[in-house]
Amino acid sequence: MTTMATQRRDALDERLIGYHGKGLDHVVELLDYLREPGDAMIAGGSLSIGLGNRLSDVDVVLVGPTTRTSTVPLQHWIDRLRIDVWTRSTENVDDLFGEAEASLASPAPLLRVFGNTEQEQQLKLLHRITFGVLVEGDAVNPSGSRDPEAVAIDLLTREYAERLRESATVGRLALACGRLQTAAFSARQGLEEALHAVLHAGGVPFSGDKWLQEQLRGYPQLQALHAEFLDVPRRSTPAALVERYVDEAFGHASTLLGVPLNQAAVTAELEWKAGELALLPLAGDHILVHAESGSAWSLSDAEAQWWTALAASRTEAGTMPHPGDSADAAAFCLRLHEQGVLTPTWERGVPLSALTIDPEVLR
Amino acid sequence: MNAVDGDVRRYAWTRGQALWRMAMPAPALIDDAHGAADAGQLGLMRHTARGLARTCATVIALVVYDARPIPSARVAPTWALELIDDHPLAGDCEVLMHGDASLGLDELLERCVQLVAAVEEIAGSTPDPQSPEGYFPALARAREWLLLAEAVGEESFLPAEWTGAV
Repeated sequence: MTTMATQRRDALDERLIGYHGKGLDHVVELLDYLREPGDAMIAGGSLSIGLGNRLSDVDVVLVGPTTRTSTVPLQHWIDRLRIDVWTRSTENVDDLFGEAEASLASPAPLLRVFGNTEQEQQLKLLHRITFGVLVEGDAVNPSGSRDPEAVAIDLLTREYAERLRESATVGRLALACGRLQTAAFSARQGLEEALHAVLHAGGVPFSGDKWLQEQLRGYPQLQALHAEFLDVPRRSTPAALVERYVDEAFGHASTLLGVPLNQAAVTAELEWKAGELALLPLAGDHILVHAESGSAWSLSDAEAQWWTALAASRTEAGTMPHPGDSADAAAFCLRLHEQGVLTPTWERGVPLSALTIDPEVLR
Repeated sequence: MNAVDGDVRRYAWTRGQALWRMAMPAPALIDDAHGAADAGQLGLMRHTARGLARTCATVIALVVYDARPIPSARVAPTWALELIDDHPLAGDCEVLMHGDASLGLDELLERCVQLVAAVEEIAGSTPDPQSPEGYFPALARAREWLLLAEAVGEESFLPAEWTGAV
């Protein structure tokens, strides 16, 4: 174990003993039954990177050549300290990093690769393995052509850049049609996604969205910017002030990542994906039915026409191009998205080469 | 004998979703709130309060207003707040979801705890799955709702990876 690895292990041990009276030796003893010859024990989560508190859990990953891969986290407790354990074979970890490298090399959006709960867990695992504290065994060095830390950082930076694109899309469309609360919530989220991207591009480890404000403490410029947009304007706030909040939040996010986030830019390649929707005539009215959820909406004549045109544009892949030439049709798409039956999607992701992040903002 | 009001498929789906959204994240979020208050981590507290209020507003929308489907997390705050606008807890959810810089750690913690208690009175409480004593009882409760969902031909509310459906 390197000196730095030993120091990090000692620091985590000290915090656990301080909070719970029991340290990593107790964790090792508790998990002994899961160990396999030649495996490594890595402790991840907020406590391992200097965040967390006395109620934080510890996430442990066991990786070894003969370790079997667990499908769900295995929960353990030492008194009130919760320890969630993931077991992974070395081959599985190699595959995970291989998949991450391939995703970064692909033009397809990352959200399609890490899009469900299991894949989200995989993304977190990748970071625990990369940035976690080595408790026992030898450091895990996934095979692959690139440095695992660089892969983990790139993956996270791109993930947040793609999330920002979606927030900006929803926010800009909402702003354009006067859905100011949707716009404002999206703007705060978008700015926070940009801040995450900047932090992680600069090598700051990841431990979930909830630690953003604490992680920004070391960067006064970014912390001050975040503080300006922490509170979303209320419904009673004059429209002009909400519009300014949204515009400025996306403006800062755009500057931070060096990407345009105006409506034309974010909707340029936008497509919509719909569930099974059917438009039916009913006693002179138009009913849009989402049978799967047992939901239906009554549409005006104009809305029925927009839906008909949208549905007719459906591609073989099942997506529908955004009707960017009509503000009213665009607003209709946003409303369907707000109802949970239309999802924005893109054929291409946001490549890292499209971002320009000034490292000076982290000074 | 009392009939379950309304469509039983919708009942199973909305209540099952409410259970999943309340029982799993709420205890973790309340833990985060207590931990943040204890450690003086205002940023964690604010983020937790937002998430908790969004969860509570969504659960009220499900259980009181039979709302379905649930939109993506990005638009869920507005969706939920508009749906529950006339509910007595709407204002409490709104303050925490928007954020209020004038609220300190203790006041935010108190508001979070009170809001969760009030929503549990509406939606019912479930054993804490993240505690040693609540783990198996919570799974047993989830199983009951899954069996109801299956009986009426509704989709599971748990992630597909958990149920082996992928």
